[in-house]
Amino acid sequence: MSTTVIIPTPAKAPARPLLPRLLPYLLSLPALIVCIGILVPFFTAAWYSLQRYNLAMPLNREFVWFGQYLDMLTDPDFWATVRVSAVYAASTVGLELLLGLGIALLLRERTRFNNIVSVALLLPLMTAPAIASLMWKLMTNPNFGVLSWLVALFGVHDFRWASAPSSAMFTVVLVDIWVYTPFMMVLLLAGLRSLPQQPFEAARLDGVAGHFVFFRITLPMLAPYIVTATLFRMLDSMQQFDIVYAMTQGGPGDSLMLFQVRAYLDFFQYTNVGTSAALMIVLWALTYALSNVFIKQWLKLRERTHGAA
Amino acid sequence: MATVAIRGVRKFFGQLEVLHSVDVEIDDGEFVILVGPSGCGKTTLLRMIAGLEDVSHGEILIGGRRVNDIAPKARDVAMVFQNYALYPHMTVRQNMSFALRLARRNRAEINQRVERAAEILGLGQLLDRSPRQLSGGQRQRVAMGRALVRDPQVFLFDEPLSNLDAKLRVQMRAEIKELQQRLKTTTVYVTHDQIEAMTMADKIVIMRSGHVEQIGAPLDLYDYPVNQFVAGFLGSPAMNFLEGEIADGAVITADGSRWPLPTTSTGYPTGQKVVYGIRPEHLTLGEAGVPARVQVVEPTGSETQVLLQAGGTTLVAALRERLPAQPGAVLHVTVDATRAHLFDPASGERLSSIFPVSGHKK
Repeated sequence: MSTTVIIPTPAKAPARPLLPRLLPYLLSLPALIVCIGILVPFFTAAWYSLQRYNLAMPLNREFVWFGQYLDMLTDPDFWATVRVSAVYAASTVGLELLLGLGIALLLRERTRFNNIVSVALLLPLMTAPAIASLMWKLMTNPNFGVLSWLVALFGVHDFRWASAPSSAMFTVVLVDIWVYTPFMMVLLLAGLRSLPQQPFEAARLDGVAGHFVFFRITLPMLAPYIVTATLFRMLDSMQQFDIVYAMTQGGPGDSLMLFQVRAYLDFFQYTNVGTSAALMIVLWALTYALSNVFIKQWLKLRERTHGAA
Repeated sequence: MATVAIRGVRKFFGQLEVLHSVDVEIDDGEFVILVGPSGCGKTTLLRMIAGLEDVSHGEILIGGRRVNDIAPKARDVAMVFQNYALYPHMTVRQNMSFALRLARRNRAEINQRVERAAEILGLGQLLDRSPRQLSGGQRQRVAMGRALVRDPQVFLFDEPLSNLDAKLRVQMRAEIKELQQRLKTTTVYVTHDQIEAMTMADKIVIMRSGHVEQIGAPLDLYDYPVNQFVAGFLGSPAMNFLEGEIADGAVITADGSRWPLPTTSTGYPTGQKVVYGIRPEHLTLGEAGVPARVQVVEPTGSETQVLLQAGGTTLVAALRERLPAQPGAVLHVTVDATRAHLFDPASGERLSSIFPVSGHKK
């Protein structure tokens, strides 16, 4: 027969085992790794951007401070890049917003048909943009492309799509719209469907005309969603690379030299690490400034529209 | 100002029939409350009057004009929604004047109407605020103001007070009633709260699962419910129900206690199974009567509610005087037989009116 002896626990707690003490650090480790993963390349690029550094001429490597940035200001190629990027971002985002909003309004009712259509419309978003570009390249091929054949039916012969400087921008914008309009649509559709119904019913009783409802009630209430969707697309569009590179490699000539395309070519074709890095840092600064403007707008709008129950 | 008539109105959502041939006549200037448990169809009926839902069968007339196929805006009704439905990006003034500005009324008239409504509702200081800067009660007032400025034929209220806290609800209840008495605009008001219905209405329409159970003035419904549902729905605490059988001039419950037959009727058939209904305030405690064991004493200050074990069930008595009794004490309970009711256990219909004595109203 044995008796259990209860030993009173000492007032001082024993040293905690190792794992609980390490746990907070372990849990924050992924965030730390991600942070390092983002910051190391960023600062490396920033560092390179301050140097004249061409892989082909390693001996000429030299620290030039902001010399490359100053050079850019007088470089017409740089300003061409800024202009092309701005035109590209503005036309893709603008058209995608209009189309996405229009489609979302059409699909607003939660019917089975609408749900099926909205899922089907998401398919372009699920194709890799580079693959989509190749597909469009085939479709716009002057010899056997279906789109070339189609425009020929309308009497436009020998339309050269992305290979002519005059229509290259139009063509890549078209591809971008095809790929990313569903993104805009799905965000705005979610927004539309989450709007409270009662103001619209009140408007029906007040006899508010349809266009009035849209401009005075729907749009203001939808504004935070529009700003969010536009912000995402704007940042993406300014950093556009894959569609344009896959379609035209930035050509014909310099007509589609977006930031990323030029930086890519600077590095991999001309092995000019320094100017490539400087371009990327300028792009970063632009997107950073833009997103700040957007987020401020968004916060203001959200406060305005979400105040009332 | 207009009458509203609802005649043989039915409503289907797909195969589901949510309103079964509803008939309600509303007089000019009357304050009518549609009340019933959730899912009884009261809100659907209100939305049909507003024109937000189609009428499947039957007809709705406003001011004698059939409105089944008339657009909501042409019906000249104004609705106050449960969640206020204010336009969040407009100020109070813009919210209230929106409908008028759309109708292209002249500026002076719009201002005058808005100022008047704001004065009636005590919103004068708040006209330039936006809805998010207002409390729940103030938003509700703005929603009412928006209805008010339109000076419509009919006001429709859809559970306007259910998002407010208890104290504010009592205050707004009185304000809405007072406002309606002043303006004399025909009003249809939906609520699930029987106290709101009792305190505010000229006429109550009690609904259950798509049927109208009873229509009448609040106290008529309270005193003469047509069935057990109405009897149990109105009144707080609710009416007590005891199951028993009629035998030699009384209702005998399962435990053998005797409950006096209602004196409002005579000629009760012996042996019939009935449900005996008596309101808490018509029970008195004393030396004589049915023995009752006190379970819980709940003093509310103005009255005392006592849970009693009697007649094989738990009864609630509401007493004006304060009760010194402790839980567990055995008292005797007597009922005011002039206020008792008998109901059919199967159908729930009130039986006492089937055997009426002369002189009491239905």
